[in-house]
Amino acid sequence: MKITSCFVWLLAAMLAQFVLVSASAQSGKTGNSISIVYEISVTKNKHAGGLEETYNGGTKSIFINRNKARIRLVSLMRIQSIFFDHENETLKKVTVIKESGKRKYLFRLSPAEWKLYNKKYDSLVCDTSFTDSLVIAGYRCRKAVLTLEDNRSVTVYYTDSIRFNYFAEPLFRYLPGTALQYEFHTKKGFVQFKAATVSDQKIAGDIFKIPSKGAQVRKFYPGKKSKAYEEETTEEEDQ
Amino acid sequence: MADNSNNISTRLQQHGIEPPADAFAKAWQAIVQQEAAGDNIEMPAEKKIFSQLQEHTIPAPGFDFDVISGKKSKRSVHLLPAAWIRAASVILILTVGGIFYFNWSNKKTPVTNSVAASSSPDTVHQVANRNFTDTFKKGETLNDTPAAIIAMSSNSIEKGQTQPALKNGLTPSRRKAGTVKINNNNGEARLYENDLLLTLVNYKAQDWQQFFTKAVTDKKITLNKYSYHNLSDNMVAMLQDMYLVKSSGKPTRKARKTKKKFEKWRSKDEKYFDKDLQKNPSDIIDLSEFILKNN
Repeated sequence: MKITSCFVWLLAAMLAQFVLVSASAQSGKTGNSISIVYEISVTKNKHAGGLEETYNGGTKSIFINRNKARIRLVSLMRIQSIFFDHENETLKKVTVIKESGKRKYLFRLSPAEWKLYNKKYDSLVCDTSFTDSLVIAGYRCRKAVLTLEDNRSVTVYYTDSIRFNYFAEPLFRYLPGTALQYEFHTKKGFVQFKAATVSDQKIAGDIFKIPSKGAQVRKFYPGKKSKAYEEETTEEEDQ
Repeated sequence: MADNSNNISTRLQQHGIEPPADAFAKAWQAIVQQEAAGDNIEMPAEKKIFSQLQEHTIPAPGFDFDVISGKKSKRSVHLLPAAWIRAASVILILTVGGIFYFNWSNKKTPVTNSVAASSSPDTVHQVANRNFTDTFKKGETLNDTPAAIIAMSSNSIEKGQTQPALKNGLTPSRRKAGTVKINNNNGEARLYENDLLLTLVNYKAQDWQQFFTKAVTDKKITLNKYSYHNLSDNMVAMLQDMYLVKSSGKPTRKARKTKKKFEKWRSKDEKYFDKDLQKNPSDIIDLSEFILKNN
């Protein structure tokens, strides 16, 4: 009888713990820290097995905390990050760095330059009138279509349970929530980014440290390809 | 002499003594007297017990129709006492709960710890017993690539164990530019030039068999919790092709062609994203247009 009661109490305690853990996992997504990992999949209509395979299976991670943010792409072909400094949700500075390969480089952008860097999203139209929904990474998501000025469009599934400032992702700035799946279709196939994990755990400061050691510093000139290689210098130490 | 011995045997054969005349009558009388006296002799103790047992009766239980119909038959199957089963259940639940708790807490902590490692050169968890001997591009050697760092799996390499020498004579245990680093504490490995493709492509099958086998069979290269790359079936097939060797040990034509293909892709990628800084590989439109249209 004693063992039976112990067993029942233990079971109850475990259930309570499980409920608390689940609840804490679902709540607080509007807090100061958030990280989302998207898995990249590439589907080609014909002749699969080309260059796209080096990006197929890669990941794109977004890390945001109180005044820093980072987007990191990891693929076989390249590892690249974009670091953001922001204050009170106002963008201060952007640093783009290619982390992989023999020729690592970085270039810095002011908020105005970051706007120019994402010029194609200036006249974006966001249509959220769809009733389609999906459950992604445990979140119920609604469909939206983002259309660019030149009629290219990105299909997005977003959740309004998570909200953070989208200066890091100008494509989603009109979205009433966070994109957990988005895809871009062309005649040859499509590329999909789908959230695999969403976390609101505290992010260590080191993740926002720019690995600039040994990277060439370049200057970004909007719309000018050849100028991009000028003014190269090398940073010796991490920032 | 013979006649004498025959005479003795014959005589012995024929020798006889007559019993006393009343011997039989006396014996018979004795038997009759013993039988008559037997009825009054007390029964021995053991005989008493047996006779008690013989007389013992147990009343038959009443009919249990559930048992007869088989409804309660399962009760008799219990091999262990119920208390033991309960105790075992508690232990099992504690174990499962413990596993669940530790898994959960392990998943939680890397957000701050393992991700932090990603700002420095990346580490690969699955690398074992390997060294760099080949070069990705002609003319590039380990001496030319100061950041070339790998580490060995703690499973395959004991602390302080000397690693096989590299082609250029360096040993992995030497921690300086152009050498290979061993991290015995957590069995992690660092990427060659922080480059996944280069790390996968730039080794010789014999020394890197374990790394290659694991990457290909798991179809995944894990850098840390939030940084990993899944290998597609096509990529796995290509990597396998790249390490095909002839009986002489030299790469086959197909292997050489595959390696050239990777190099061609690399230069295309650099041309698209590195020469024109306006292109952003983490932007879905820029990436899609590159990999789907320029392919």
